[in-house]
Amino acid sequence: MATREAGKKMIMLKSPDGMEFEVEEAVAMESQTIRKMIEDDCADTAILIPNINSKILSRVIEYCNKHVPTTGATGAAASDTVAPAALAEDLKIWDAEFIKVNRATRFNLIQAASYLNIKGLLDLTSQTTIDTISDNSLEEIRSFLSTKNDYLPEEEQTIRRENQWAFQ
Amino acid sequence: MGGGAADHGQASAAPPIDPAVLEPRREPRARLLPPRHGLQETATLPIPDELVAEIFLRLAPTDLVRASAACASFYRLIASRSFLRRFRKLHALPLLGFLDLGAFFPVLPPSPSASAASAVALAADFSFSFLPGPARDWKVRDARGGRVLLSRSPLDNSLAVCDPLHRRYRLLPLIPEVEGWVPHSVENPYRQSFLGDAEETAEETSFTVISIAHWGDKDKQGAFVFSSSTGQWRGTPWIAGFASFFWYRHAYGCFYGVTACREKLLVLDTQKMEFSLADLPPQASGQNVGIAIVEAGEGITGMFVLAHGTSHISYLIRRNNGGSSSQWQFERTIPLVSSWYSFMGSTERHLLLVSQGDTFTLDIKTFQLEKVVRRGISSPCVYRNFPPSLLSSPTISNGVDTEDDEVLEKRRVASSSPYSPGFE
Repeated sequence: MATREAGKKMIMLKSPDGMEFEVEEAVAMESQTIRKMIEDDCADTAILIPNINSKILSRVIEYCNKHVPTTGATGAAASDTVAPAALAEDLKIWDAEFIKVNRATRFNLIQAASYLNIKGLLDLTSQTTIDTISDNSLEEIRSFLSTKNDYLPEEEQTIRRENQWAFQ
Repeated sequence: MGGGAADHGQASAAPPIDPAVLEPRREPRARLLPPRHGLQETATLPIPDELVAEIFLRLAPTDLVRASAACASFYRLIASRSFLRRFRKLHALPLLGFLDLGAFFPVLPPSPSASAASAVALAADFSFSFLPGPARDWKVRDARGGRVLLSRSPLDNSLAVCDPLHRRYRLLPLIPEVEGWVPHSVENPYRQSFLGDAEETAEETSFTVISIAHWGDKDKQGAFVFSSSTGQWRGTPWIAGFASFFWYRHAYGCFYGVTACREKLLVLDTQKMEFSLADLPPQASGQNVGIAIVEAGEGITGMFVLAHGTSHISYLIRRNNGGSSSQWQFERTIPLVSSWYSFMGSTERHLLLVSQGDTFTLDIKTFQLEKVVRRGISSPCVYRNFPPSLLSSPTISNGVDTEDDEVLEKRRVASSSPYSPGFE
């Protein structure tokens, strides 16, 4: 299953640290930013992606590779053999493994997903961060997002009082 | 499928070079994506605002409000107009409770909205005492997007749309008598009124009201749509027949009813102000069948069907192929634990079901069934809004006519004689 026919159009993605990644056009087009470039005929075979290093870019491509058949045009072929629900479950497990990365890598992935406009990856990376925020105290949120409490004590009191329902 | 995934995306073995120096492009048609700030080790540095915004956009309303209390810069980011606009677009309004029998019934734990719902119950005025005239004259007709539609009946059929959280309201002009429209004076009380979608390009405070009126021996009907932006009613020419629009909902600017013999859907296009008939799928025709029509996203109209005495809901979809709609296609079955469920209505995001004295919601995207109130409800008026916080902004613009009392009094006096609105 999911054997890719020969003759599919390939695109070369290059990271600023000199690595080259050859990917199927459909995989690259998981990124709306790249899709737009391809559709606008701005890219023939190679796209240089500044500021996303090879370590992050290779992970992004790994994600797109995994996700392209279910969201792309090849979806029908894959679902012939596997029930869509099982496929979705498989992807979920895969995603959970994929996102087990340290905090810095996760933020780099969020940045890359936001820049390349890959909705699924942005949702996945942000959601993992959100889960951290949802479960933790304000102090932990601050530390996690590298920010300091710059409220005056009265101000913080007011905000807490006005939004009491959110702190129950 | 990822079976062949490992074959692709492999790096060729070029030695890493200093990432700060971008290689000049060698391929003649290779393009450089526009540059932006370099990725940095973010372990200790503050995260750029745009990234924080991306994360915050996905937070649940409660968590977002908590995050706003973490520091002042987060608060400023969240309270900014542009962020709130994006957030409201992305998040369905939480279902906070039901307006039934003149009272508000907040959703209860374990619903995640329970604490927000009790905050709204305290902050909002669901007795509508801020409306002109005696509050008891006003009856709730519909609720949608934080707004409530009320009519003053049986006095004069005046309609008002209000925001009970911010205590604002707008009194609608009476529907004018126009040649070819269904007569709409007080002698014609057969009317069903609903809140419609906001017009797409309009402000967040804009709304529409749809009124379906019956005439004669309920054998003619016509529709009227009020737009808050123009302040005017538009009407359809009357058509023969009678259809019930109660509980059926709208999708993509169309409002759905079912004909008297339950053979067809009667569709009101609120843009073109035209009625048309559409076929009902076999599962949905016949008596004792509950139907709800919803927007399923991407231009797809969804239909939930629950036949009386069965213990499953059928879900059908219809794609809109550039103006012409295709046939209804069966999509899935949603099993229920008993055959005691029945439809009470639908919102943009939920179906309402009652079963043995409890009220349930079925999420139309996730198909999750959730018990929300431990009582049955008799009206499908669902109150959904963001709880009182920086998230909730008034849903009615602040243009309250101070002469409303006077206008209403005039209408009351005039209600015995035909109303002449001076419509152009």
